[in-house]
Parts: sequence; C-alpha cells; structure tokens
Amino acid sequence: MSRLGDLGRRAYRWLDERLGIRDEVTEALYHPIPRKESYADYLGFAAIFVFINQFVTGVLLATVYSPSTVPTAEGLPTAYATVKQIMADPVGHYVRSLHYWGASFMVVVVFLHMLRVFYVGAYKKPREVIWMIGTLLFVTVLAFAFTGYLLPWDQEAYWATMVGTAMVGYAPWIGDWLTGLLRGGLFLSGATVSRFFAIHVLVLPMVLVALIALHVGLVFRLGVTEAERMLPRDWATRHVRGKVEIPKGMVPFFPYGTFGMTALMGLTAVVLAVVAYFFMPGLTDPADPLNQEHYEPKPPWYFMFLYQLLKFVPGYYWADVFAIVILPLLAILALFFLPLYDRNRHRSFRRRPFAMAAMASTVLVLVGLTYIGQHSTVAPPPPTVAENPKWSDVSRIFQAYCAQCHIATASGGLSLASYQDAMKGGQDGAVIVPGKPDESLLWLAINGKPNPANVPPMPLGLQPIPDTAKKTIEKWISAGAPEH
Amino acid sequence: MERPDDDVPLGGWPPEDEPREVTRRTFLLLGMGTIGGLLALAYAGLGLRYLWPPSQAKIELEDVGSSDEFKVGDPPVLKVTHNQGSEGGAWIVRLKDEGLVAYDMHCTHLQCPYTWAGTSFSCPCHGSAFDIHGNVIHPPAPRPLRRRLVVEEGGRVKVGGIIS
Repeated sequence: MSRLGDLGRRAYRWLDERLGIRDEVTEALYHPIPRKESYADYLGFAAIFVFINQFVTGVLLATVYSPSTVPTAEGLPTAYATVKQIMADPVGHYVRSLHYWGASFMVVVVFLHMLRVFYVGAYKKPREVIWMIGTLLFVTVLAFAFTGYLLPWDQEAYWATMVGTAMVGYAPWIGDWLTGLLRGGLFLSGATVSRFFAIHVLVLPMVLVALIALHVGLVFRLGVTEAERMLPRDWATRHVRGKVEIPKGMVPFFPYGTFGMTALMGLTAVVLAVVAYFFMPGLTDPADPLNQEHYEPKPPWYFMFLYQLLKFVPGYYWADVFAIVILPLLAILALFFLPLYDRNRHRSFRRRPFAMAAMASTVLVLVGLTYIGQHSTVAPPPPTVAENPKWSDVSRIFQAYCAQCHIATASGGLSLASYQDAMKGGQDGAVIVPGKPDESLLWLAINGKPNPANVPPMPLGLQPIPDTAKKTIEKWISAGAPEH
Repeated sequence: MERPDDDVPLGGWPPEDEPREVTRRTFLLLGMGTIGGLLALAYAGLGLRYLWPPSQAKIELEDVGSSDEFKVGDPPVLKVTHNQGSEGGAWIVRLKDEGLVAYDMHCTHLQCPYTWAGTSFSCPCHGSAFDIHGNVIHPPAPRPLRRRLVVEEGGRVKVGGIIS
C-alpha cells in the first residue's frame, strides 16, 4: 500500500469522524443499477457537465464584463466594449465561445434528457416530483438563456430582448407593468442590463443548484427507474444507512455505471470544445435604440419556434394573448403536471400509444417550426415602395420571391445571394445596368417584357412579385443600384 | 390494490398520541412561522418597491428640434429621445389635418423598430404596416401606433411620454 494512499485514507477517516459523510458517499457510489444500461440514461450527467462549463466560463467572463451601458472613452457602451475586450484575446474569445455554445448545448441536452425520461416513463410513481423539479430546471435553463442573451448589448441582443420582454406585455392586465418591471423602465436601458445581469449571475445559479440538489438527491433516494422491477418493493424506505445491498441481476454504480457516465460527459465535453473552437461567436454592431441601420430582430434558435408560431397568428389582440402568453404557459403547466394526469401505469412505449403519439407530434411541431423559422427569418418585404432603395431592400425581395432558383442555386448562372453576385449577372451577361431599368435583363424579366436573351417572365411558375416590390427594384436600378 | 407504503409508520411531528389543541409547541411553531412570514413579506415588499418601474408621468418634455424642420408634406423624421434613461425615439410629422404628431418608434405588435417606407410605416419583424396617421393597414399589429406628447414652444418642438 502506497504511503500516499494510506495518507488519503487517514484523512478521509479523520474527516468522516467529524462530518459523518461516509454513509452518503457509499450509498451514492455503490447504489444498485441494472446490468443493462443505455448511454441515454446518462444525459442528466451530460447536463451537469454543461452546467459546470457554464459556471466556470461564466465566472471567467464576469471578471472582465461590466453590466453598464455608460459609454467608454471610445464611445461604445461599457457592456459591449468589455465583451469586445474579452474577444480581443484568443483565449478570451474561446472562453466566450464555450459559454455561448454551452447555452445551446444546455437547451439541447436538457431537452433530450426530458425526452428520454418521457420515453421510458420514468416520471411515473414514485418519481413524479423528480419530473416536476426537472420541469422547473428546464424553465430555469430557458431563463438563463434569455437573461444571458442581452448582456453583450449588441444589436442582436438588444432587439431580441426588446421583443422578448414586449411579449410579456401581452399578459392580461399586468402585462405592461411586468414588462416595465423586467426592463426597469419603459424600454431597454442600462437598468435592464444590470437587472438581467443580477438575475443571470446571482439569482438563477442559486435556484439551479438548489433544484439540481433536490433532483439528483431524489434520484439517489428512489433509485433509477430501470432498476425498479429488480429492487425490493420497500427498498427506498427500509434500507439501512450506509449499507448497500446489490440485488440479483444488478451491479453497483461504481465502477459499472461510472464508465457510461464518464463516456457521455467526455463526449459532450469534446463536441462542445470542438464546436466552440471552430464556430466562434461574433458580435453585431453596438445596440442602437434608434436602429438607424435597420437591423431586423430575430430570436436565438431555441426561441425560433415561438417566433415562427407568431407569424401564423392573425392580428387580433386576444389571438396574440393566446399565442404569446396562454399557449406557452399551458405547455409548461402540462409538462409540470404530466405525472399527475397521466394515469397510465405502464412504462413500456408499446402500452402507451397516446403518450408516444403526443411526444412524437410535439417534437415534430417544435423541430418543424424551428426549421421553418430558421430558413425564413426574412420577413416578407413591406407592401410599400422603399424610398431610397439600397441592396438590403431589394435583397429582401429577392429572398422572398427568387430564392428557390437564384439563391439556393444559381439557375442560368445567376445568383442573387450577394450584391457582388447580382451585379456579376448570369450566362447572358449582366442583368442589372445601373441607372437603366429598361436595359436591365432582371427588370425586363420580372415585368414579363420582351428581352434580347429571351428570358421568360420571372419568377417562372411561382408567385408573381407584387407591383410595390417591382417599383422598389426599378427605383433601385434607376438610382444606380447602390449597395449602401 | 396493495399499498406497501401504508404500513410504514409516519414519524415526525406532531406525534400521533398528542391531543389536537394549541399546545405550547403549536404556539411556538405558529409564532416562528408568523415572524418568518412577516420578514419574508417585508423583504419581498422592499424588493418590489426597489425594482418598481418608474411611472410614465415623470417623463419630461425633450427638445428635438426647431419647428421649421417639420413642414406639411415632408416625410416623417425619426428623432432621438431619452425617456427615463432608456434611449428611444419618435417619428415626427406635421399633418395637414392634425398638425404636429409624434409616434413612438416601436411597433405596437412586439416593439420592433418600424421605419418610414415612402408611403407608409412598415415593420420588419412580422410585417405590420401603418399609414401616416398611425392606423394599422397591415396586421399583425393589434392597434394604431402609440402617440407621444408633442408641443411647440417658442419655435421649438418638444416631445414627452406616451399618451395613447
């Protein structure tokens, strides 16, 4: 026996004499698990890993970041300037990238964990409370994402949060007051940043740690679901402190389960590290409350489904109240109370056709809305003629009416994906002659006029471009087709 | 159905053999609970008072330019305002029938920034549009643009808080 090992054992004994932790450690380490396992059972551990990543990188970021919008000597808001300062250093940029991607990983991992638990029916008696705490954890994770998103105080952050907090305003009666409370004023300001910062770094971590402790503690107390049939019925209540019995067909968590746990946590770590390395997050322009550059607000991908959903809502106040406030609230309540109203005792997916159908359709709807939202973030161009059209104005029209053939692919050699591509033209040469719409192939084609290249009326077989949009394009070409 | 949990005696408080009346213990417990509850309430009230959003009425008039800048027939102009420390803006236009009006720069749907697009105001987020009087001409905006207090004093234009 090595002297170091001996010293360690003596230190542990000394500590245990005072803390009495040996029984708990033994029980946590050697609790019985089924011999057959799935890596999906360790998604909760992966979530804990991502949380540790968020905690460590968050503390590092907080040493430089300052939640203030007061302009620095260079005229940038302090919050924005400090994030820029963090990103100026390659290590700092990587730390921010880990934190940035960690947020997305957290949402994904926790969501997958919930799906797995739902699929195996692990929320049923006696683990109802574990599921309910899990739902609260999910909400906490979303709150983390929402409050953290504002902190860099760039255009993306500013306008996403403007819309996000405006949504709260649709809560009946108290909406406006609630929005004001969140923002610390009528609109966003330095007060909003410091509020969100306080919630993000002081309140939510405490809530999360407390909930995780309860969540994990209860899992240890009640054992994992798959072990249920193998454990004696009264296992949870009759067991003797510090004494672990391993029933037949089962194995102790250490070392049998720790392998899967470590493997999944390690895998998560590697994927996160690689993604964060190759896709470093940028920063848009500093928040401009006047939005002089016409930035188009768009939510982070995990709120995209809601953004997309709102596009389908007709323009009535109460329809909006329903879609923005009532529906999400009902969804969370439905999730929270699931173990109480799901009276089906069976755990096997074969005996739960309705639950499986509900799960599949929920996932399909969420994924579908997110996908559509991500691929149609450009709102249809306004039904008006732009005053001094620039590339950004006509680009929106192209994206709405020409994308299938001239952005996704370059039909006839013509791509309208960027200003340079559009000006370059296609196989028939330039399609835009600055200052001369009548000589521009593009304008002739969208107006269905005869042209030297015999291009048929565009868009071919698709929804025609509205007159207002055509007029915008005409004005843009007449003005010399300016990029800015 | 078998309920294996039922034969496990419930430990804890109060012991089963204790008579149900206000004992010294009950009284102490109630007292502690009350004091704890009052303290929690006090802190919650303090926090709420501290974080309470400032009132609209406190917005002061702000000079945004001279009266000559806004003529009948000119397109609306976006002017910076600093209501309650949060920077924002108002589109100001002089209408033939209504005189000088100021619209808060945020769309009434979800407060995205709309812009003047030649013949109407249009919002990039969900496609709402408003005419020059602020009326909705394209959903989903549920209500007309919010108007802000606007006054002319000594040849200067001043903008205040939201009034509609």
